[in-house]
Parts: sequence; C-alpha cells; structure tokens
Amino acid sequence: MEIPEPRISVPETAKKGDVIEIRTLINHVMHNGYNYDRDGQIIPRHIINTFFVTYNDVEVFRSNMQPGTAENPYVAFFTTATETGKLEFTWLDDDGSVYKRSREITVT
Amino acid sequence: MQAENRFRTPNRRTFLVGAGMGVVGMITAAPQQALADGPMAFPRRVVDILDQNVGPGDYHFGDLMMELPIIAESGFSVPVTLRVATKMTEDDHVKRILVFAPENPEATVADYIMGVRAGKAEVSSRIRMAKTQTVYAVALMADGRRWGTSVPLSVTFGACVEEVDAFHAAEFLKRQRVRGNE
Repeated sequence: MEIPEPRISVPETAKKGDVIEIRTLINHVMHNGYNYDRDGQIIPRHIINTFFVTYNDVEVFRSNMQPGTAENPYVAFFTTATETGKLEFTWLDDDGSVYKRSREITVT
Repeated sequence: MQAENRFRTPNRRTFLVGAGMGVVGMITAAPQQALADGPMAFPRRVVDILDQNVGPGDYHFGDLMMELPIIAESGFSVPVTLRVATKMTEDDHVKRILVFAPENPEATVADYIMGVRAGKAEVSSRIRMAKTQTVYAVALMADGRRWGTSVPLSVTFGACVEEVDAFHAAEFLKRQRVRGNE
C-alpha cells in the first residue's frame, strides 16, 4: 500500500477569536472488511480508526472513524483561533501506523 | 443537469421539491414546536447502539441539521454535512455527533467529538452507504439536551458489493457520464 500523504488546509494567519475552517484528507484504502476480491476472498478490515487534532496540545476535534467512512477519508471542521501556535493532526491506522502532520498558525 | 432541492420542516414533516443545482436534503427546525412533537423514533439497531454508547434518553427534531444528496449514484462515497444551531458557548455547545445507517453492516458510520473550542458546530465528511435507506444523526449537547434528525437517501450502487460488481458499477457510471457529456 502506498504511504498515506495527508493534505491539510489551515489558514496561515487569523485574527484572535476568528472561527477558522480546517479541511483534511488522507489517502487510505479504508477496507471495511465486508467486500470481496475477485477470487471471492473477503478483504480484511484495514481502516484509519481515529483522527484527532490538537491546538497547542489541547484536543479540539476527534473523529472515531468507522468502516462506514469512505476511502481517502475527508473531514472538514471548525475551530476558534485562540493563540499563535501549532495544530497537530494525527491519524491512527488499524495496522498500528501513526501518521502525524502539523501546521503553524499566526494569530494576531 | 436537472437537480432538486429538498426542504423539510420536522414539525410538519412535509416535502417541498424545487429546482436548483445543489442536490441537497436539508432539515430546518423550530425547537419549541419540535419538542412538542414528541421524541424521535429510531430503528431497533440504532436504539441499541445509542443505549449502549450514550445511555437511554429521548431525541427530538430541532437544532440538528444533516445535509445529504437526494440520490447517491455511488454508495462508496456520499458527502454529508452536519450542523447544529448553537453559539458553541461554555453553557451551550455540542459534545458529540453520531451518524447511523441502519442498513449498513455496521450501523454507526460517523462519530465526532468536539467542544467549545470548535466555535462553529459543523462537520463535513464522506460516508459509505450499503443501500437505499434512511440515515439518522444525533447530537449530544453539553447541557444534556439531545437532538436527532433523519434523512432518506437513495443509493444507486451500494458500497458493500463484490469487487467484480464494483468494477461493473464503475464502468456503468463511466458510460453514464460519457452519455451525459454528449
């Protein structure tokens, strides 16, 4: 499987108190464990089961992903720009892999 | 492309079908009237999951809105947006939003946890649908209130099919698109 390369959209700057939209997408097969391959064998479950975001080490959003999440999971949500700092995005894979990315935001 | 807009008020449960480009089902609400409407009814599977994960309680039509297409041509990826009418203040904010597709092999399809830091109670994602069904969503508020909503969704090709079928489905959709472009 190709190594997931997350794509994240966060504004670089924001005014204090602004509500900002964050959009994320990570490429992943998200095998739900119910589909069959061409030989009639069940494709075992392999999904990203958790996605969470911290803003200066405070968790601001979490998604407990399900087999019912479409492949290449896309999530868009909002957060309030409180202070200059770092947003950290973490995806946890069923196979134990952890994909982490971070974005800096300057709050004026 | 001819598309439809759909609006439904939960207190009257009426359908208004209009014309427009965005194929979006929306639910709007008047909370007080919705409360007078009585608690929502969920399918057995959803009730069981809610009892187990959240604890028993009543859900009302009201501040929770779910946007789904009227028809999903592929159940593999269905865009969904959930929105709660709240200012996200310390006293009045959303803690958790859950989405259920009772006809899927696993009924829970989305589970978001958020808090007062969100600023705006809105999440968008893409989910899988096994077949045509009514999709349910609930929102749990910090003060204990519980909102629910439901949107019927038609699915042309379900997500839980053999790869061979999926291959044919993809080919079929490709041909459809080509025809549409002519």
